[in-house]
Amino acid sequence: MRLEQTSLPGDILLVKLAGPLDIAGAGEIETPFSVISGHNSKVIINLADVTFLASIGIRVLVKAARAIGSRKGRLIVFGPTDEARRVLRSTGIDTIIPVVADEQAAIAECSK
Amino acid sequence: MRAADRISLSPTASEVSRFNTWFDQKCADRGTGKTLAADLKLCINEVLANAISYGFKNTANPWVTVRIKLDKRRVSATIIDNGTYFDLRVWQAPKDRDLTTGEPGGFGIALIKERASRIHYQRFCGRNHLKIECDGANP
Repeated sequence: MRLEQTSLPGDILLVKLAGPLDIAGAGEIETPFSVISGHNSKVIINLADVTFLASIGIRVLVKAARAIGSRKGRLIVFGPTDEARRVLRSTGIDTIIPVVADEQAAIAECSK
Repeated sequence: MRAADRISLSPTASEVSRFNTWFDQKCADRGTGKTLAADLKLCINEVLANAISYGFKNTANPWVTVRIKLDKRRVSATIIDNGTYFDLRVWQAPKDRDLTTGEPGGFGIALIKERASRIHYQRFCGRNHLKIECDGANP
């Protein structure tokens, strides 16, 4: 699992994930995500290159969204594959973490 | 009818990655449909993750085997392990779960129940025998 961070204007942090977000991938990003969610209030996550999404990956996203939300911040995900979007929808996570099509939409959503 | 393929795993995260590589290759070799392959892969991953997290706390030499059958319209996996008794069919999602505050668990079994067309479970000889079939009929 690869994780890249890019700071964008407006204090937005772009996090790009690549690879399978299975139990191994989730284990690799859990600590970085804990740090990210503890230090940033506007986070957008690019899921376009996440090749597989299991529930354990969802848990990481939910924990991060809650931590950021507790400081009135926002976590937005964008660009999931059709299959990843299906998992997000099935678990109901898209009701607490906005899922949008692309980076521009994510930035706009994050700035609301 | 295709012959079954089988893989033996230690219950660790890296072994799940090894399983996924093996499974993807089998599906590619057989030309398994994308949705069927995705459904079964997700179900197996959820079972393995659950077993790794909770199933082997009191097991001295834990192991899991996964046997898959990939047919054109139906795929299945039989997952056998020597962990704690667990019949996921009787697991119920917490009522009134609040995603914003509650423990963010239980998604995996809910996903299995959604994606699987049939789930069979048996416990014998101190082993869990779980068979999951997917025929793509679920949303």
